[in-house]
Amino acid sequence: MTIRLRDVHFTYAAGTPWARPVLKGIDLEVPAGECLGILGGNGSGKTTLVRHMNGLLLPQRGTVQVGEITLTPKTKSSRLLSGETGLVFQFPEKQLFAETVYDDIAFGLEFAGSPAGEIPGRVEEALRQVGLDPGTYGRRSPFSLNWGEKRQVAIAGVLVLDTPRLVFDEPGAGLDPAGRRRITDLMRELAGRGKTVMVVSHHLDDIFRVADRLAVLGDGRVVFHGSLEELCRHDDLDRWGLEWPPLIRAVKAVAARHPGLETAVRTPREAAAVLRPLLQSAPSTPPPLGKGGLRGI
Amino acid sequence: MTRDRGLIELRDVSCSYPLLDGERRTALREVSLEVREGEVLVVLGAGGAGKTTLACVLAGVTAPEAGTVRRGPALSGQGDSSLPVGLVTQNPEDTFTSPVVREEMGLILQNLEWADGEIDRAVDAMLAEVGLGGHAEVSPTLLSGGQKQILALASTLIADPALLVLDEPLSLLDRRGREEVSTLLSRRSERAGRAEVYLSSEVGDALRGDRTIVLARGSVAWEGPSAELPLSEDALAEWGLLTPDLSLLAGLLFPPPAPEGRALWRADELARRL
Repeated sequence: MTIRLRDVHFTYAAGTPWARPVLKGIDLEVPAGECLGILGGNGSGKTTLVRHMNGLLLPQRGTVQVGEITLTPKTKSSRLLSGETGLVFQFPEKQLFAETVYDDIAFGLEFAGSPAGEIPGRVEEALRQVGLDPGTYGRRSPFSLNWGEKRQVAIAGVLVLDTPRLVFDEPGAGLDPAGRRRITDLMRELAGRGKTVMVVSHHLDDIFRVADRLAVLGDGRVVFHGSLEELCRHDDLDRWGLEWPPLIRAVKAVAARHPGLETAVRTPREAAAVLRPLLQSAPSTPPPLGKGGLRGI
Repeated sequence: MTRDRGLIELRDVSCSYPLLDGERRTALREVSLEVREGEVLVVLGAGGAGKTTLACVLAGVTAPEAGTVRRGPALSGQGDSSLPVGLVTQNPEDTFTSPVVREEMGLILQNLEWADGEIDRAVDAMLAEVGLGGHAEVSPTLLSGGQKQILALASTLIADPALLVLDEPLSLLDRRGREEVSTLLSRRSERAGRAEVYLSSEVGDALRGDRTIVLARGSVAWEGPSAELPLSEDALAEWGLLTPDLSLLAGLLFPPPAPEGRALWRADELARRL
């Protein structure tokens, strides 16, 4: 087991009138090499949870075990986890600071004291992993890039550290669907190479395509932990502030009339395989498109 | 409500931004479009296509480098070129400037030089309408994601804009937040003649309006009725866009020449067809 959380509690502004308990007893285990999707509505504690996995936050009660290292409320230095878990923050491009893309990505390696001779090769490799050509992008200013490219550079800055575990906090936020798809493919590739990947997102269609297992947070606790197939047998997603992706919504609506249909579909092809046997009548004309702006969406 | 009166018109508008190395990055290239009273115009585009720059030009925040922008009565030659426009961005935190919710809500009215008493009355009414009354004295940054976007939207709607520019306003929200914001939008859209421009990178959002424009690399790549938007993966990939999953599914279930396979669908409608 590469990450094990036991009864983890965390409260912001603890001991003040503004105290806001966010984690209220998290138990969670992530085996090595697994890709875990972490779901939950806005404010459910997802970001607070993943910040415990790289030691950015320490538990106020309970324990966080990452590899061979255990963090408790008495732990003095969270730098124990340096080199253990890479964390890609939400909107990571806001942390870009260097004059060139190359310098920005190299900073983490320099800070960690990596041998100077290794750095250029590792930076170029990290750029290639996120789909950017080192020759084209290495000497450009990160501030001249568009949103998607900045996000790719920021992710490269974490990948370059080659940690065994990676946490992505809303990696697709603010990106277009094609940009999100690129990052989903990258996470799948990282998991395929044996990395443990944890991803927080409210784009459930993206997360379902890549995750082996899912954990749902609700009111500071893990309210579900299991496979997509198991999750689809629950109908509680709405209560947790989440919404099924369109494909699963369509299949679930059909399953309401045809009990027993498999509703855990990740791609249009999987959904078509489930629904095709039900098609009996000839096609008719499509319905009119929606009118009047946001009504009915 | 008339839909044939122009509210704002862009002719050959171009914009670019300076880069640190002395070059310029073109954001809009000779864009021409018109928004008519009462319509919802959807603008689709991939990241970097120029959507946010277009939103800023429509809202009057960014002046075009070349080309012309004509607004409101000026379009019909009546002289006054002012047009009340509201802009709501993807990340509301980027636009908050006030320490507490109440001040943020009344900021536009202050800029419009309303009397203090009138501002207080309008703010109280809007706070109550959108359910933020209990948060009037807290910092906007302490609100939930949905509440922040509701505050941003309500702070705009309070001035009753004739044109509402919505730059991916729902993309950072979870289901609850999207529902809250969508409900407010539809409840307040009854103002006669108000137009909306909805900018998005999700092709399925074409369902939100009758007319759609596709922006690609800063130029208008396609314009027409939303129902006629090309949905093939190749056509959309050319513009950096992805075919929605439900359209791909419909294409697999209803192969050509069936019209169902080339349509935009809502999940419940597609389910009813099966």
